[in-house]
Amino acid sequence: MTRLTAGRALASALISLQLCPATSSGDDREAREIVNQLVVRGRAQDELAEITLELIEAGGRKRERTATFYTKKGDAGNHMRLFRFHSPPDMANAGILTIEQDDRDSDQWLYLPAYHASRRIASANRGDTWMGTDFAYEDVTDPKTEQYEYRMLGAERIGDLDCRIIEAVPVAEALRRESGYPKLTYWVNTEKYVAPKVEFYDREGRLSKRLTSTSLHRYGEYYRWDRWEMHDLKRDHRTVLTFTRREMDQGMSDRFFTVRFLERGR
Amino acid sequence: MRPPGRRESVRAFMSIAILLLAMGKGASSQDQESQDQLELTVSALGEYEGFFYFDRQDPNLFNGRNALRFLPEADLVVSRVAKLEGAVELRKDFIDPSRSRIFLDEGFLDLDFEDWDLRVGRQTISGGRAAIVKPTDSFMRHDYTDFVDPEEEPIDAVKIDNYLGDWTLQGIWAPVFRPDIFSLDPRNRWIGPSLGRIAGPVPSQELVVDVDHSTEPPKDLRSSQLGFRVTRRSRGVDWSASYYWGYDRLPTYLEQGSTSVDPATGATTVVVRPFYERIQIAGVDGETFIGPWGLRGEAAYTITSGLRAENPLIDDPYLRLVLGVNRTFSRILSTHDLYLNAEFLMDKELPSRGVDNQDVVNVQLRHFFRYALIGEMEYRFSQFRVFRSQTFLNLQEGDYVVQLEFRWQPRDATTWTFGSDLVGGPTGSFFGLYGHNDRVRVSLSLHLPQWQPGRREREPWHQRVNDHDE
Repeated sequence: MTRLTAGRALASALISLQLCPATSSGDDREAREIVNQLVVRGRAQDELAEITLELIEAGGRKRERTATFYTKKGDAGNHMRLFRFHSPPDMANAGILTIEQDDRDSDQWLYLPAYHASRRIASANRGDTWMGTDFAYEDVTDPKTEQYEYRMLGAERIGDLDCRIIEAVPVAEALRRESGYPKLTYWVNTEKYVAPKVEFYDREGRLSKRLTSTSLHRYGEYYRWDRWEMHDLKRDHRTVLTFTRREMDQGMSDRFFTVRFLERGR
Repeated sequence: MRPPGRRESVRAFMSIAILLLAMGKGASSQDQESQDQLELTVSALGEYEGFFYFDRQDPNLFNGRNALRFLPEADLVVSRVAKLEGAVELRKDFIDPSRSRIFLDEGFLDLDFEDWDLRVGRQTISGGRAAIVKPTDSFMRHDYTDFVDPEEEPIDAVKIDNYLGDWTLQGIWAPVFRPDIFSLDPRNRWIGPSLGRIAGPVPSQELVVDVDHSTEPPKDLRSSQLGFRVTRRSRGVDWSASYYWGYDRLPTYLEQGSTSVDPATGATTVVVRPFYERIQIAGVDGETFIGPWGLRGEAAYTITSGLRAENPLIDDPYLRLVLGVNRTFSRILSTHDLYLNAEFLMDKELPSRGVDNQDVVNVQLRHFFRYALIGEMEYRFSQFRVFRSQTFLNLQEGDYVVQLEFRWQPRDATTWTFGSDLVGGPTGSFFGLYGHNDRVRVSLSLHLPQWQPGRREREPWHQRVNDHDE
């Protein structure tokens, strides 16, 4: 082999490594498959949820919001989401519309009634706080499992659910740069494929947030937690989401996921 | 045949609104379930606003603001396709009585059909994508009584939007022209120095300005304005092209009429006549994101009645351009966010001939820069504590406005705002005239909880919404 062909072979190998998710000994196929099932089985074709959000400060003071959340899987498999507030009155009718894209960053628009029109906003800041809560944008979107490496850590019982403990580490370059979490840990029940607990670690390797889900109910073929609590351990601040109404796979119209509906609500 | 008067115009408007409302009801009356759609929501906003000027040497000026505002709102869902919205502003200004009013701030009928919407009545119509100076925002009316803190005002209009996939076609008809609000009261700190150019050096306490409204456009259909906008949202880019046929919203020029002196009081009364000329505006605007960087641009070419340059007081046609870039830096100090926006502004005669608009027009508020920069910064300690600054800098003359503000929400629906406005510049520059107007301000707003009397349980959402598509 000449120096030129050896160089080309090395370049091809490097390019291949870049394109394929790492499947080194750090990546456990079983762990990956469990997380894949967690994501796939949890994903309805469309879903409407009415939500109460409580923001609880360290001293116990609470602020409450109510909202409706619409989500639908688009024709190309990417998700569309619309989140609209109903209360408190200074946030009523404000909303955010997100349309995921395969080949580029998601399209997002924010509508605030005071501005009389919607505005495009950046979708690249996945680490930004979501709606002023303890959730980040990346916390409320499904992970792209091919961008992570997974490892089985063990097992633990939470409530009446036997769970496998799985560690996830982002390996995709852009995700490693933009995500706020160099590591996450999932507790997943492999009978119902639900996760009663998720822990999020910061860039210093410290546990920074914990998501605890309770009140599990079955909606047709889907299991859903009706209460999520995200605890920001650094600030001792909590966000509690309570789902007061859910409907799934009802044939939701695409017109919910338009700037027109975002602005007019009808 | 004489043109319709104001009362006839209002009657015609109301007739159209009632007819459309009946159509809306008729469209859904076949479905008995829709009778349960009637839904009333009532809410209200209460607000206090106060200013304090540092320079209070002249006791004859309005040396502050002390105002209360109450804005009750109601919206009534009549059927699946029809909704009525209304809001009334009750404002009491204890320092400048001309600002006190009871005013219909909103009053329109919304009709929603499958591919098109119609809104008829008093409404605020916003256009353009720049942050502050929006060259294509032709239907936005302003109150420039305090022009470093202008307020948006509604107009009476019919607006129709047609939705075709990624495209939206919009048409607007405003039957009767309503100009911007501005003050010629010599006691107003924001107009006094400019008035000297019209009335001569008369002390403010001895000057009375009488506005002769007979030169304004007629208050009937002869002063109609029309606008069209085409918008596309696709592949990560939102853009629009627009056209407006209407009037300058600020007077094209002011003419001084008679001047008289009251021998008893010594007060000088100056009659001022505002003239509003027809204009056409063709514009484009757009925004997109490249990674975390937001890019915005807006351009508008205004064709004035000064094409033949017969009246030196009428603007020559001009081009306005805004180019901006913005970015949000998140997770600063773990939970804080920083938003930065910078915009370059240009206002230029095109074609260039003779003296620039900026040097000729006597209503300088319309052309107070050739090249300028606007900078915005928002530092979010949390959703409830935000520090904001906004800066305007005239790149040629060097005059500026710096506005600083801290917004605090101690609890939901309650917002305190503490701010300061700093104005100045070289002698002879526009904002340099107002260098003595630095001030601090405070406001408190309270949103009262929404009330929905007799609210009924809604039918399943999928039934409610998907019927629209049948």
